[in-house]
Amino acid sequence: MPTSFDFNTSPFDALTVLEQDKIKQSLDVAYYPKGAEIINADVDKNSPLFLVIKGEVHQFRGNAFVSSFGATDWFDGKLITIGRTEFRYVAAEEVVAYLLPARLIRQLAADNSRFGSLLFADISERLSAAASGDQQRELQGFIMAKVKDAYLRKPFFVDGEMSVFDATRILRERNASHVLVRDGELSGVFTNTNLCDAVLLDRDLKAMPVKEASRFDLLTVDVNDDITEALLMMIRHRVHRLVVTEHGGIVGVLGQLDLMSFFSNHSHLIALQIDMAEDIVELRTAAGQIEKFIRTQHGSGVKVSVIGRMVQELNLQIFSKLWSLIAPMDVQLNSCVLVMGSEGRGEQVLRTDQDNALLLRDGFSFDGVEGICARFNEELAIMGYPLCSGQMMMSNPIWRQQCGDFKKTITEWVFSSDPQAPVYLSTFLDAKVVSGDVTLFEDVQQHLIHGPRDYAGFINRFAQAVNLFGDAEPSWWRKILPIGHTESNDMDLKKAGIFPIVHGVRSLALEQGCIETSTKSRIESLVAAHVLEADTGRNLIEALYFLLALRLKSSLNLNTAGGAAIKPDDLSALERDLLKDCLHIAKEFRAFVSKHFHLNVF
Amino acid sequence: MFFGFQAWLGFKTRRLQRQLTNTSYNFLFAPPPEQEWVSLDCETTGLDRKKDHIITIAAVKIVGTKIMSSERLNLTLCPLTALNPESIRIHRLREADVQDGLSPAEATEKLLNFIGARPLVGYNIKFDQDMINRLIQPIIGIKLPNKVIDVAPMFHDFRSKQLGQGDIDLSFKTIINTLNLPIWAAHDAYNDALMTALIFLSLQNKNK
Repeated sequence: MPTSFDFNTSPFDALTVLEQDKIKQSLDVAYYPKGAEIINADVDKNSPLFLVIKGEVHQFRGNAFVSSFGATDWFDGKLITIGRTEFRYVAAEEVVAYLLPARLIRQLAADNSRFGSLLFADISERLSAAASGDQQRELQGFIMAKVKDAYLRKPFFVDGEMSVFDATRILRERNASHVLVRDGELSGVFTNTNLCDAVLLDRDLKAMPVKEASRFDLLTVDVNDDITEALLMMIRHRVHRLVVTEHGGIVGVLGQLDLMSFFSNHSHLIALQIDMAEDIVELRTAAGQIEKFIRTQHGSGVKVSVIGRMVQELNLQIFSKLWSLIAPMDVQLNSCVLVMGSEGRGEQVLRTDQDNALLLRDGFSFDGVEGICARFNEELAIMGYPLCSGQMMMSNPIWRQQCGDFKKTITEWVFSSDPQAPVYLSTFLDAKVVSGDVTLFEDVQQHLIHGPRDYAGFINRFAQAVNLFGDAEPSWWRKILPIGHTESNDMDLKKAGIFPIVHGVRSLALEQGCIETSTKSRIESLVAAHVLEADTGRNLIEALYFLLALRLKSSLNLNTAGGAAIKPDDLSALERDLLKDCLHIAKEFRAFVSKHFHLNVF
Repeated sequence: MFFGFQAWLGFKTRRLQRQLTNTSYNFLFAPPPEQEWVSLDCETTGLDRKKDHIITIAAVKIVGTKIMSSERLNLTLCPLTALNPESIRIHRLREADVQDGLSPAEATEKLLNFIGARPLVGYNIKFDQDMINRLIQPIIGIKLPNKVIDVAPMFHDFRSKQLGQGDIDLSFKTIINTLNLPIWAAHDAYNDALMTALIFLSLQNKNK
């Protein structure tokens, strides 16, 4: 239900109160009857940004449907950045929308670097969503990009002896916000900001030489510097432009807007935000971006495996940064932080419970370490990583031990007949190091993989879990083939497909002593070791990622984190077919694992 | 009838124009710009057209299918009589809020320059029209010459085409919900004028 303009959505939440007020003052409202064309290809760069209040808008390229926009969505970013768009927008039903003047948006993006970054990140994301390109290649390209790849403005110099008044006139004539100033050997810059300062000095602007109002301590980047370096510099020094040099000579000016429009992936901006966060509050803001990123990526058809990797990377950065903000240096140096479970495997797309542990160096103890760990878990919970109901977190003393003690715990689990033991071991097997001393983890990992065990008994007990949910789920076939029943027939993808694949692969990998953590890389090494047929391996990977994608899709629709319930009725016919195949693959694999470990004799 | 409607209208307009005491308002009689309207809403001290006063007037231009909310008019008038507590409860405008309001002459000047000769759109516009006339007539000698359009009967026509004859609920809330339009929750003159403008655009399209 819209009231007045909602400033709680990205990128508008980055605006200051004054800036929000500017937007409020300049909003118009438009009404479009069903079928009306809102934007067509012959718009100009003064077209406003549209923000839907009510109704649905369809985006077309020519006559081909691209995507649809609903309440609180905005479009078309391309108009804001390059003043053209190849899309048409049509009201699919009655539409009421806010119109935001393009000039104001550009102005705000120039004044407020955070708003600018978010806006352009959003825009570039949508562009890559609508462009059918290889996301990965773009991402790579971006990391590799150099300053010279961005749009550089030609340098324009005035003589330092010129009066401030004349220099200002040149700014106006050139419709520029800066001009370079030459004073003998020195180069400086004269900007709108400098002009304001000069006016306040209350001197005769027609007599005052512009060099006295300019800055000569220029921030420069080289044409061959990484583009990320340029961005960091702008953020660090809070400037809107950098002077670009080549072999020491000035060759151009890189403006913030131009740099931002060069961006092609949001994950970098989030990573950057995480990196730049100076306190927990800033880190929370950055963490809040991740889910939105997942949505847009998923919406643009990026493969779940790719999203999973990027999200894992971002989450690791969050954990690592948080740890560095909370833990004293002494603790950081003598410990190792782990994430475990699906987060460790990188198969976690939306956040489920946090599973983490802290390994301490033998002989190292620190007063108050439990308080630090508890705080770490609580902060993560605030950031949207729910506390683990099974208490597999570093705030629990079992998951916060010195390496030697933890090895003993592992051995106990190995020999234990407690049904929970394989669950703990599985969780730890999937661990990934977040930060700290890696050797601590490697030491414990070796102990688990090559340590003492009553071999057959243990590994069989361990693998037993693949059949945990097996028979609890009656025939899925009936569930997938709609027979026109009305009762809710949700099925849990995790139980029916994901868990058997993940755990079966984990058991085989443990038996082989392989230290990989992601299911995909485990399968690959099992294929290499001829434990699995190459075909089987490929099928398993595909099935797993299809199930994960389906799960992601349903949880995005449900707006909940763990939403694993799938209503077969919500699936397309093709998806139902694929789901049937995938569940079949999972079932076959379960049979294979059972046979392999002789589970049926138990 | 000795002469046609158009001629009569011209005659009436000329007579009104003669009564206009302040010629700087001649523009009220110019031909209005095509496809433009002004949606208007007043907050008053009560519903008695003889005794109550206007507290605020909000108006927003409609051009084609756009509502120019960026150029809105929001006038707060000086209270001529003490505000009654009943209306404060509805509008949350306390005397302190209207203390530095405009004089009737200032408000009239701002309002008339904003609306020009455009037709006025409102919900039960007759009431707002009477209240405004009481404000401006002593100052410029005439009542508002603008054409007025009420969205309530427009909605009635639309619904009776849909449902046939019968009782049709014409409350503002029902109209907004029936037409599936967004609601700006804060109850003030400006938001009401904005929603009225949307109702007008929506019904204009539906009654085509």
